[in-house]
Amino acid sequence: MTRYGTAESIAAAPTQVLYEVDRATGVAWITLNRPEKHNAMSVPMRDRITDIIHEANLDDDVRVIVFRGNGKSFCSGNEINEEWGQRRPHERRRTLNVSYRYGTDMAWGRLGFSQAISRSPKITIAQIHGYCAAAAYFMIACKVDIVIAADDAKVGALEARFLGPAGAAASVHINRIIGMKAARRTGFTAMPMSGVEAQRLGLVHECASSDRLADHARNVAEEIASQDPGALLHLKGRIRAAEGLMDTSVPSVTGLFVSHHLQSAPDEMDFWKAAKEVGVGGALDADKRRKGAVDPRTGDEGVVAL
Amino acid sequence: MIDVDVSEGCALISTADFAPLTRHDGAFARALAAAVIDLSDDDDVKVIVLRASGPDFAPADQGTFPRDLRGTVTAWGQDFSASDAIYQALCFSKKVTITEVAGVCSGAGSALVLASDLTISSEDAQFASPFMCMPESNFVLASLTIRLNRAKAWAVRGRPIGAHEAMACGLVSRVVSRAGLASATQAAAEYAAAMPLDGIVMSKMMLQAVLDAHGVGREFDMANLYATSQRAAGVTAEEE
Repeated sequence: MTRYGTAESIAAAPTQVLYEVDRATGVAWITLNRPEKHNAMSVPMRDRITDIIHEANLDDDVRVIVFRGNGKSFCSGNEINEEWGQRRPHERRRTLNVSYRYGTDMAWGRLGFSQAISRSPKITIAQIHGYCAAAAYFMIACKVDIVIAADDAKVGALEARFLGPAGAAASVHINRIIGMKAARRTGFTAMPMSGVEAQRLGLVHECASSDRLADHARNVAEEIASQDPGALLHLKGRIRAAEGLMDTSVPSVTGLFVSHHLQSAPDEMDFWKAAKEVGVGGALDADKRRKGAVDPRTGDEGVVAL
Repeated sequence: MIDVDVSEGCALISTADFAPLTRHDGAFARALAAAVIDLSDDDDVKVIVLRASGPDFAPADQGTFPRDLRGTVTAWGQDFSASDAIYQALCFSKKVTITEVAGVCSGAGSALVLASDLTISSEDAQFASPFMCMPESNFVLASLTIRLNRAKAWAVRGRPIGAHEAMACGLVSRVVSRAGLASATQAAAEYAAAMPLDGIVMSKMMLQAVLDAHGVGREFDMANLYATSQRAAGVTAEEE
């Protein structure tokens, strides 16, 4: 399978997503380790998560998989300022294949890492503290079986503030988990939920104070892992089948399509800065004027077709 | 085994407890389903109440499925998951259905609660997840009732939910003292029975469409597959 990313980002992924299995307890730990970026997930990091889950799925010793993050936050979502082989914004508008690759293959779709989480035959847990935003919210927290959160965690579709699309509102899964009004609120206002509020709405199973969170999550994971392995596999199979009947595995790709169109390429890091000053349309026009840019409608470099 | 009493539009089905369903007693299941279907067809009945006369609605029971089941699961499916078996009969009844729960509510008890319209509970009630040992229990109903992640945690943690927590998450309609349970159920039944019969039947017909749109019927259809999986895993009721 083709791997996207730069040589550097691909090489960094194994140290940015750590994996260990406690064979005595049957608990596997996936630790996001990019604290300087609040554990924002690059494309290679997401690929590594997918690989790890596949490994854990085949490991008879693993009964429970726990996601957690090092540093101040669990995870701030997908990295949006990275080079992984994408094209410039005005070119991407004519390249649906690239959008599809990012929006579905890399995120929501059957090849995406969130599907690897939601379709795992093992019991999955997310241990959340600090920010749990954007993709971390709807591609990890809303895909695992059980969420244990710090009381003061900040959970939600915070990316809607600057990316625009409110994918959370369109997710069948999120509507099932927290109810339709709350799903739309998280999508359309980008306001975060605290861990306590997320528990009240049904996303979070149990809360703990920040200093007790790790121990609490470990206790829950080990308690579940102590059950009969065959029984757990049977139970998870039942849950996955029922979720299929409820169509909660249907990916909501539209938000990611738009996210991708608005995502900055490496040489366009000032895109959002310009957008703040002259709006998104003006920023797109400015992008087209850049050296080397090609207007897909004319094929002329640096020429704006009006 | 099962007593039925009809008065003022309210039908009361009472039995010692509903544990026979948990241990997959086919005769009991058939009798209970027949009672629910007959009452659903009775023009003098608007509300059907399920009550245990014993201290617990459905005490924990050592399930006989699948360990002691012989042959295929089809006979079991006919009694427990088919469209005219007890859970679908209750879930898709044309009348308002109420479960009155006191004490322990495990296995079949929780499956009945999920399939009923209203649940009146005593303060000491404890609701255990039915999903490990009851292939015929409906996870889609649980997800719709208490939301997806709560249903998952209920199934995976294996911890019973207390009455007040059940009330908070939507599994229970009302919590009262054990002493006031029967009168609270009677009041709820009389309130529902005050509706016109056609209004109740029409509402339940519409509810059927909604439940099926959400996948409730298809989840019942999956029971035989779950039973096969459960048997392969060697899971019995004591795992719950």
